[in-house]
This record gives sequence, C-alpha cells and structure tokens, in this order.
Amino acid sequence: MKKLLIADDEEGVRALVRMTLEGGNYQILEASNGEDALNLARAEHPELILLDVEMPRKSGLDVCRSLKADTATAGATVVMLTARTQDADVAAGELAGADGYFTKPFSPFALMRKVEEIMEAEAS
Amino acid sequence: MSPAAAAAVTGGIALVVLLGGWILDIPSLRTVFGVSNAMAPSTAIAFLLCAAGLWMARSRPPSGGRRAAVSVLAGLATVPAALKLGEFVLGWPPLFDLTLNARDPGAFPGEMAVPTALAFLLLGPAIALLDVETKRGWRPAQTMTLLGMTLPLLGVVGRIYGVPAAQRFVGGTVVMALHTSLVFLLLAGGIMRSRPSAGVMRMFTDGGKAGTLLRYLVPSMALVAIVAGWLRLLGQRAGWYDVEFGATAFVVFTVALLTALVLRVARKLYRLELDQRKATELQRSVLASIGDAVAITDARGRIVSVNPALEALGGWSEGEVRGRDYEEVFVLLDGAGARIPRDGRLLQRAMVSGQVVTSRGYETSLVRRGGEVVPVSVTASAILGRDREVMGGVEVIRDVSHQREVDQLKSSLISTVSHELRTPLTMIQGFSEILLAKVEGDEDTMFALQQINGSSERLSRLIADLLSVSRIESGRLEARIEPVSLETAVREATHPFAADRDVRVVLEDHGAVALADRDKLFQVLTNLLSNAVKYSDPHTPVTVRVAAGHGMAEVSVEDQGMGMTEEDLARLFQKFFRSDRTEVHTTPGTGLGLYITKNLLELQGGSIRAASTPGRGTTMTFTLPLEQRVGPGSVPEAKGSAQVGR
Repeated sequence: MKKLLIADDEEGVRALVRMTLEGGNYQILEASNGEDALNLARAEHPELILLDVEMPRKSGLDVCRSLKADTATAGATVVMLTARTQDADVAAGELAGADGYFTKPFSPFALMRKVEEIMEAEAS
Repeated sequence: MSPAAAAAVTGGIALVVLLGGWILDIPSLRTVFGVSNAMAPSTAIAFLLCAAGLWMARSRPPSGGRRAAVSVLAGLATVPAALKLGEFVLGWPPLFDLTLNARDPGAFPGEMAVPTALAFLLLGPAIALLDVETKRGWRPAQTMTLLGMTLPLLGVVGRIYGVPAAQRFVGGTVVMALHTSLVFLLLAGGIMRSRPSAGVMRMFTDGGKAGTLLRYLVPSMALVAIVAGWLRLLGQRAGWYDVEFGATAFVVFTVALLTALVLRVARKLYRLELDQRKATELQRSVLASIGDAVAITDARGRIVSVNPALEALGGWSEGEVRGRDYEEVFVLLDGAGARIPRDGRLLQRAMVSGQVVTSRGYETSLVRRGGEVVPVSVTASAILGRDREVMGGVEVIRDVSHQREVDQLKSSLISTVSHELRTPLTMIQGFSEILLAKVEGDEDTMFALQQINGSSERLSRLIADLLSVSRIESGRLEARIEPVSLETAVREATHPFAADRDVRVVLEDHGAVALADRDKLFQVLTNLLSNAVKYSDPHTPVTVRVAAGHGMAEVSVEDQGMGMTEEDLARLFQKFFRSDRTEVHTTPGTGLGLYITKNLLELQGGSIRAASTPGRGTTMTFTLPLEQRVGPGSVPEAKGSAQVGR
C-alpha cells in the first residue's frame, strides 16, 4: 500500500482528494497545516505529497524546501496544489524543488491520472 | 528675374546703345543728350563684359566651363582699365583709346577716367571671385564690390556738389561720366544681390534685428550726409557763412540728424526685442509650469534646459547640468535594473528616426542624484528645423511611482480575489464531478449535476482569462523565448480535440522551428482550436496548417463553420467583443480569448489575422519569428533527423 499525504487547510479539498483516491491502492494521510504536514512526512515517509501553497503556520513552499533539504524525505514526489497560477508562482514552486504543479480548481479525475502517472514512474 | 540678372540686362542694353553712339557717331547718344560728358567706348566694352559675366554667374555658383567663361569675361573687362592705369602711373602711350577713337581723334575726352579704371579693377575680379569664401565666412567679392562702389559714389556726389576734383579722384584729366557712375552703382548692386544669403548680405536680407538696422540705417545715413554736405557747400558758396562756421554747422547738423535716426531705429529694435523676450519668457514659463519633467538637449545630446519638475525629480539644478551630457546626468535603468545604453535611449531613437517614441509599462526607472531609483515613463521627440534637420531633442519624464503602487495594489487584489474564488470553485467542480461519476440518480439529478459542473468550469476559465488580461494591461506579462518545434507544438495542442473532432494537421514545412514561449504558444493554439470547434458543425473537419518563409512561421487554423461578417472581423480582437448574432450568443464565451491570443502573439514578436466568409468558415492565421537556420550546411542534417524520427 502506497502512502499519500495531502496537506491543505481546507477540509473540503482534503475530502475531495480522499474521495477521489478512495478504493485505489493508497493509504491517505491528511494534514491541515504546514507544520503537521512536515511532521507527518518525516514520521510516515509517504511516496507522494500534495501540498497546498497557502497554509497556516508554514507555507507549502517552506514545507517543500524543508522536505527536499532533508535526505530522509528528499525522495518523496512533491506536487504543489494551488490557486496561484502566475508565472512567478510557478517559478517559486520550481525553485522550492517541487516535482509538479497542479492548479485549483481541478478535476479530481485529472488529479487521479496525474497521481497514477507519477506513481508508475516511481515504480519503473 | 533676379535683381542681379535685371542689373546685367538693363546695363547691357544701355551700353549697347552708348556704343552705338560711338560707332554711328551720334554725340547725343554718347553724352545722354548732353547731361554729362561722354562715356569712353572702352568703358562701355568693359561694362558689357562685366554684365555678361554677372549674367552667367547670376543666382547660383557656375561650374565647369561656365565658371571658366565667367573668369575670362571678368578678366577681359579689367584689361582696358589696367592699360589706363599703366598709362596714368607709368606713362604708357594711350594706345587703346586712340585705336577706338581713330574715326574721330578730336572726340577727346573719349578716354577712360582714372576712378573708372580703379572701379573696374575692383568689380571685375569681384565677379570672377563671386563664390569664394574663407573659412571664417569672409567673401572677398563683397569687400571689393563695396570698395568699388565708393568710386562712382564719389563721382555722383562730386557732380551734384559741382566738384570736378572729386569726380577725377586721384588725378587725370577726365572725369567719370554720370551714366558711368550710375551703371557702376547698378552693377555693384547686382553683384551684391546675386548672393543674398552669403557673407554680409545675409545680415541685410535677414528679418532679424541686424537686418532691420542695416536696411534702415545705411540708406538714411547716406542721404543725411549727402544732403547736409550739399547744404553746407550751398551756403558757403553763397557767402552766408565762412568755412569754419560751415564745418561746425555741418557736424552739429549731421550729429543731430543721425541721432534722431538712430533713436528711431533703436525704438524699432527695442520693440522687436521686447516681443522676442516675451516669446522666450512665455516658452520658459510654459516649460516651468509643466508638471512633468522636461529636458531639452542639443543635437549632440547635451542639456540645453531642464524644467523645475525635472530639477525636483532628478535632484540637479539647471545651472549644474546645462551643457553636460544628458545620458550621463540622467541615468535610466531598464526592467532588469541594467543601465540603458546610449543607443537604447528613447531620445537617441527619436533623434535618429525623427519620430515620437514612448516607453511602455513600468520597465524604465530614473536614477536620482542620491542614487534613489524612481519608476518613470518616458516620451521623447526630436526638435526638427525648417529643413527637417535635427536641432535637438525633448524628453518628457513622468514619475509613475504612484501609478505603479496603484497597479500593484490592483493586481494583488485581482490575484487575491481570484484565489479566494478558486478555492470554493474547487469544491463545486470537484464534488460535482465525483457525484456525476458515483451517483446513479434520475435524469433531472444528472442534468443538474452536469449544469453545476459545466458552469464551474466556465467560471474557472473566466477567472483565468481575467487574470491574463490584468497581466497584459499592466505590462507584466513576460515571454520565455526558446526554439520550439511547430510540429510538436501543434500535435500537442490538437491532441485533446482529436477525440471528438476530425482535426487535420498539414505540415508544409516539417522542420519549422519558431522562437516562442512554449506555454504561451500552447495557449494560443488551444484558444484558436477551441473557437474553431465551438463555432462549427461537429461533422466538419478543422485543419491546422504550418508553413514557413521569409523569417516567419505561419500557422493557420481553419474551420468550415458559421463564419463572420465584415463588422465582426473588424472588432474581432477587441476586449470583451462578442458578435450580436444569436448563434454566437448562445455559445458560452467571454470575448477575451482572441484579445489575449493577439497580445500573447505580439509579446512573442508575432501577429495574427483573420479571414472569413459567413456560412463558409473562418481561417485564423498567426505568425511567429523562425529560428535562423545557420548556413546551408545544416539543412541536410535537419532532413536526416526528420527521417530518423519517422
């Protein structure tokens, strides 16, 4: 069973991800702020992390930077999940070391395809 | 006819008549019906030669053979004069005049007068040297002519006063004939007027103060002096007063009259100057009261004037910067914070092109005296003279820090609002999609869910479009230009549409590589394809064509749909434009897509055009710069790799 962490302060977004990926081959971990997300990632070592950019206590970009700086967690695939779509925002995500960028609003099934794509790539 | 030509022609005719008087032996023709003594035939011939020379050189500098002819004519005119002077000074025999007077040896005095000979020696060379000018602008021809004029003037005044010594000048037995003097004055006037804008004549013909002074003062002074002298002589000869009183009265009278004259001229000049000063002051105060910073430079880019607004903005006073290099004092930075080089400056471009140039967006900043940087917008134009020559430049600099602040506020507002809108929209779109996939409801429920899902998708597109427009209008849209294979880009963009539609790709140029922003090119193609799909029958094909030529790639998206009218075409790329036709209005859209597309293309150095026939279909064609192919050697290589790819 693969582990997937979704960090977003919006309960609805977390529910959306959970309901979309339910029944798939995933154990879904949830965090509602940046610090919790970081702690959970360090404790559980999920393969895929979906990070909201704007979260209380620690921003998604900061969490991503910390994860990528730590050899224990650097191997996880990080996808930023955000409503910010400007060129500068995308560039900031890349700079923080994110592996992908997914913009809100999103189609849950498109998200599922993207997740599966990434997982398959990891597996091969 | 120019004054010089007129002088030459009138003089010439009069002299032919006079010569006729000698040849046909008609004394009244020689002496102007007895008013004067006769003009010598040698004088008449010399006059004719001078007149012919002046005629050939009238109005414009002669060249080649014509110039040689003028020199020969003028040189020949001085020959009898030189002989006459030789005769007078060195005692040569009077050969020339005797030969001409052989028919009537008793007709003496038929010889040339000494002042006449002197005048010819000045005016003849003057005609030959008409266009010679020294580096400092001195024209010897004009000086010689003015000197030459004094001799006939002496003759005329001497005749009026009845003083033969004055008419003979330095000596000799013969006096200058009255008509000789007049023809001399005519000739001299012609020489001076033949080059009205050269040397001292420039001041005469100029409309300014010097011209007014000269035109008014020179003739009046001459008249005053001549009349005063004549009155003095008259009184003295009549025995009303002695020489001492005459001299005193002459001086006082002349001084008084000349003072009156000078006063009149001074008043005229004063008024002229007041007008000019007023005009200059008006210019200065207009410049000073302009709220934007204004700099005026000369043609070499050195500061002539800066207004108080620029003094305040730049931190330099006008006195400190006048005469200094404008680009050195007022340093401008580009969007990346690098100093804009001389030939990149708007003022330089305006002076080269002669057109008004304006900066765009918020890219330009001015470095103030203390090193502080202020965002500015700049408009530059060249100051052109009467013949469109560049005399200098004007640059208007506006402090846009307030606008930039407002704009940043606006864009952060838009960004916040759209972010806040997107989060709830994520729920609506996401959950409706999940419900559509998982719930087995009745027909109405499914329809309602589809409506919710479709509307949220539209709303999210609208937000994306509004964000794009906001970025376009604030000039903050940037393109990351790189070589992009058009085939790959077109295939990627058409792929999502190909599932529901017959999308054909025609590659007229397989290896075409454009210089473009990959993401923005994708956005452009997606916009055009979705329009083509949206506004045409689902059973008709949509064709994308790629062609290349003349440094530009051409990509067209062609549908067989409802097409557009002329009026629609004209307004197609305007913001929020949507056709009034019902079939368009019932199709969802914001009217922003083509406005954004056009701006995205222009940002990448491309353009877009539309062609359409109502009911037959529409073709949208855009261009993008092609990557320069390096020499002919690289072409086979490209071909090879294309074959491998297949």
